[in-house]
Amino acid sequence: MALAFGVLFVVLVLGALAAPLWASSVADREPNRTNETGKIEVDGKQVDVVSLEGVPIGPQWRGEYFLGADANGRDVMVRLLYGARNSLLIGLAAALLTTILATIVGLVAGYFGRWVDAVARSALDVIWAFPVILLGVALGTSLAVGGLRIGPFELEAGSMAISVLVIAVVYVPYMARPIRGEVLALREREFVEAARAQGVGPLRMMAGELLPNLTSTIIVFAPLMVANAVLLEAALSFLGVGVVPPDPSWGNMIDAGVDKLVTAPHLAIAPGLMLVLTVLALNVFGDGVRDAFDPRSDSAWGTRRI
Amino acid sequence: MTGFVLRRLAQMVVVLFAVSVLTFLIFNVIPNGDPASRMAGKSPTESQVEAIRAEWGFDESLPVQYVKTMEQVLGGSAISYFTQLNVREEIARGLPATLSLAVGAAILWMTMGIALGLLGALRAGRLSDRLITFFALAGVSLPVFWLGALMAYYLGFKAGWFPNGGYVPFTEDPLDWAYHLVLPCTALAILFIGFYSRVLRSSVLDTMSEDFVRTARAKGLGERQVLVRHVLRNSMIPIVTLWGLDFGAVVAGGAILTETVFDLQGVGQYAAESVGQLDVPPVLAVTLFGAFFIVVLNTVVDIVYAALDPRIRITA
Amino acid sequence: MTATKSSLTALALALAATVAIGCGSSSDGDEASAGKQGGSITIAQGSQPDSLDPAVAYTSNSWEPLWLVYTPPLTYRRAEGTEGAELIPGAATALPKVSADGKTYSFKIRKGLKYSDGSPVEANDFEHAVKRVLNLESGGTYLFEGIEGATDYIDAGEADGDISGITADDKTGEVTVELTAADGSFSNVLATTFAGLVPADTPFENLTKNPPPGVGPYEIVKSVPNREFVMQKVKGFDIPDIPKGNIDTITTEIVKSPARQTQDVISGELDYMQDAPPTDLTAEVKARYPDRYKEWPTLSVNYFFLNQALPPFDDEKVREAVNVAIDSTAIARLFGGRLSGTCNLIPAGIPGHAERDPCPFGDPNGPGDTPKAKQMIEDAGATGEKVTVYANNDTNRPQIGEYYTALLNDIGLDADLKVVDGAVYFNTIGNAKTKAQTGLANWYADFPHPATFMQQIDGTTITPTNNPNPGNVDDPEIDKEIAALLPESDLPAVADRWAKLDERAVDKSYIAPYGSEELTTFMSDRMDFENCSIVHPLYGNDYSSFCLK
Repeated sequence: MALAFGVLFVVLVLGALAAPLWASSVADREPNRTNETGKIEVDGKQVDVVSLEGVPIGPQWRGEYFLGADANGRDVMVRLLYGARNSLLIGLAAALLTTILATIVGLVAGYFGRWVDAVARSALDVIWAFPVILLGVALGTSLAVGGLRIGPFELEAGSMAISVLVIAVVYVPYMARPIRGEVLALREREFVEAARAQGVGPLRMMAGELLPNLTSTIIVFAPLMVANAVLLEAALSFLGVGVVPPDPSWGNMIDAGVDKLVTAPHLAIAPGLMLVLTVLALNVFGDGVRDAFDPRSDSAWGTRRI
Repeated sequence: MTGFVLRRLAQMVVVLFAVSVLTFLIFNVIPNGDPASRMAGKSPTESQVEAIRAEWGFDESLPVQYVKTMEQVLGGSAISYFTQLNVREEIARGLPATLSLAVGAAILWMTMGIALGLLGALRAGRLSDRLITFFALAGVSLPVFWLGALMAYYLGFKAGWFPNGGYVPFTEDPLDWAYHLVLPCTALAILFIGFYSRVLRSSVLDTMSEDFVRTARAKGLGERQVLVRHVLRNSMIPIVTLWGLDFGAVVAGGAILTETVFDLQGVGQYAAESVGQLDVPPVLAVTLFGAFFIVVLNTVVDIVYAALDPRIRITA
Repeated sequence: MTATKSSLTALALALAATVAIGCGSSSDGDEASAGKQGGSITIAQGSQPDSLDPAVAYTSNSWEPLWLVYTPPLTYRRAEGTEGAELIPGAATALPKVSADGKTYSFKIRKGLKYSDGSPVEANDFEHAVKRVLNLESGGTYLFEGIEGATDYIDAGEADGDISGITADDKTGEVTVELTAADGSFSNVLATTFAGLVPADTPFENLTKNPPPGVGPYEIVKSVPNREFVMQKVKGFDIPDIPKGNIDTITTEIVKSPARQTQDVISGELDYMQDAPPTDLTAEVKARYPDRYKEWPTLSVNYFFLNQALPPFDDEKVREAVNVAIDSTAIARLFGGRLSGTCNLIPAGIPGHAERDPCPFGDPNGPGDTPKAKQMIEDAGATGEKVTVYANNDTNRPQIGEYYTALLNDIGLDADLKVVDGAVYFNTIGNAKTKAQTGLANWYADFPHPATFMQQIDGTTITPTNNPNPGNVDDPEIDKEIAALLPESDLPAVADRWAKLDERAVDKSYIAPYGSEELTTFMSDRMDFENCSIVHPLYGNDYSSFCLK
């Protein structure tokens, strides 16, 4: 089953990659190209893409407007695929960043112990104590207009990098804690003692001796971190602080869609299903990975708190 | 043990302090316009803006502002920049809805999680177990804002089986209160049912292979008695721990999306609205309040664990 | 005034004619109570009113209920359409006497007038009401700054200080207001709820949780912020031409979602909703409940501001291209059809409105000419220029921003969008540091006077923060003419001069107007919609006209 869902995820990624192809050769519409007053032919008749009262056309199940239009007359299928790119890109990037940060923090804290460990653990506690969504929305809102400048680095307001950063930081404690625990245990093992006796320095010790032993933990966590990141991204976009319109993401498409459940339910249902499928695929796949690599560890898919 | 407890309590205070400083900085260091001019409204005179600045202390240095704001927040006298309403009163007004949601959802996910987890453990490896696993994973994969919006519309408005949102105080009409909570609690609980059933399942499987269970069986106790008296009781520990952590997280903010979708006007929705308006006092108050819940429950769990297992005291 | 301030007009005479005028149009207060008396109703607003304190309240959410609770010295006739724009005496005995130089206003407070708590109304209470506006940092402060001594009062920072320009005599009820300069719209200021009388011992704090007593057909007897407030009919209220109200108790609940409000009005759980039904439900409401739903035009203008202080909109050609390209039929769809296209800054219903026919940019209710606009941008050498569009996050506004962004991209600019929370939106775009190039703006009339619209193209109003003129329009000719027209109290006589200003603003493309929003009345089945539903052009649905079947 895990494999099947792993394949499903790959298919979703391929679909996202093929977005421009669908946009140019099948639907012939750009994702952000509005068309409020356009008409298309349905059963030989010219029909408004968006009615005078603002009701968008439903799924046509053919090239153009395959999944219907949104309030601005844009092609939902095209936006769904482009939205997949944004959602997955942010999810993958954030998960990668979380993994890197968590591994570094876990390694350093676990290896050095003492005050380094104390500081790292307090920092993790602080992030842990923050209500996740509130932290995300607070950062997103205050960065929305001004952007962020830290030394030479500058994040432009509305940049996706802001979402990536926020999401990545929020999930660091969930992964850093188990890694630190593992490092603590590894430190007592003979091979580490032996290496230390040979005078191996801390950097080489961490990178050469400890890191390889953490691989299975990291691999088990990775898919779940992507799943969590994709979900949090959707939640932030739903609340208006993730991907900035007119660029699509599943979260902001759902946000716009729930206001049209009566006349155009496809607007909320289509991106929601994509989101559920993606996260489900990652979770099932991650569960399978866990069984294969580390069957004794506790499942990590309870780490989302949103 | 006392030393450990004191250390944990000290840590708790430090963490809360850091959370408050961070929240304050997020809104004050990042350039987003001057709150005084935001509050002054249309075409204010310079003296009017100055007056606001002085009155609210925006002309002070950041540390002084922080101390002032925290005094107000902790003392309960903080008021919102925009509505000028007392923050503590607003939180108190929203708390019943938030707690009702959190408690209701918790009861639901605990009972369902235990039932499904037990069932999964007893039928480990069989089709029903696999189905439960799959649905557990599906539940965890559902975004609550999407599920909630669909439930509110299809079950609430369209079918008319449930209210389409809103909150009715228990004191006003207990039946209506419960009726309004069915959908939001279900939507929120679905996230956790899957996870809890999985944790319980593995915990039950672990316990069943332990010696004392075999002893109990050997003594000739009935299967049901063994299950309830010995297995379940011992398997509950991780679940209760988790519940302690998750409950705090839900009260602290996990309920934001659920409250917003169902318009429950709880603390989370209040916070979400205030954040959008860059309204520092309410955001600071709710964040601290939420962090307090999380940290306290974390600490309690830690201390209880340490009391049960002395080894933890050393590694921690 | 912010985006949520939706005052209104019912100038569409056709509409006014089709709606049977039930109560308020009669000149006699007693006779006005034609509808069924008594009963309680529950109505809904989408958000907590900014305040229920008349000194601070400045949105339609608050003005709609408050004008029945705090009667100012002057008020408007309780009628629809142009008739409703007529000033009548409120707490004063007659319209004010204005001195020849236009700087002194004097009126007399009615004898024997009582507050809802039974205490007598004194002439000095007026000064107290104004002081509260100035002292509480109200958004209405600027309306009263023209009073002699008002700025000194603010600068002194003493609540109990004196405003030298206001003198009152409690014995005779005489009140005199001296202005620093003639102001033709000051009578209208005396009719805002800011000037609503409150007792002289009302404290200097925002009393939204515990609104002070006032003079009016209703009083607020309970206020739970963010949940509900309750208005009750005041026994013994009697001012000629102001109806006494029919319903005994009006409970306003705060229901955040307009979809829920609509569903609840359909099912009868709510009797009236202040918001318009969302576009998602408009078609259904129109088709199934035409006997309790109506749409009416507002005294408002929606437009895109074009910041003249920054490229590319410092170039008139580029601004004109935007006007040429705008397709208000596209935007109307985002309003669920509740938008009528316009080619004016001053909306129909305000003196000084002169319909542009033909509009220099093509039919305001027709499609835009994108190819032509694209060519114009190219000719101006602006193709590929980066533009950031600002929009707020209120209902349908992000979608309009998305439309506008796509349009600017279509005509060759390189646009992206920023969506800012409605509560801080106007502050954000009105801050020079934001460098907002263009975005959504709108203006709803505070009173039926063109001056309130001209502020947005008046160069003298430009400020580095809270700029009411986000386009930084600064045309010396316009500034001079506005300064010349402001003191004129005989508005009809100078209406065409105001119209000329409007024309110039549009011809020079200082702004890009796209339409006036229409608002709605939607009531439950138990309300007498046919006979008891008056829409006032400024204050919206008049609760005192409501009655049950």
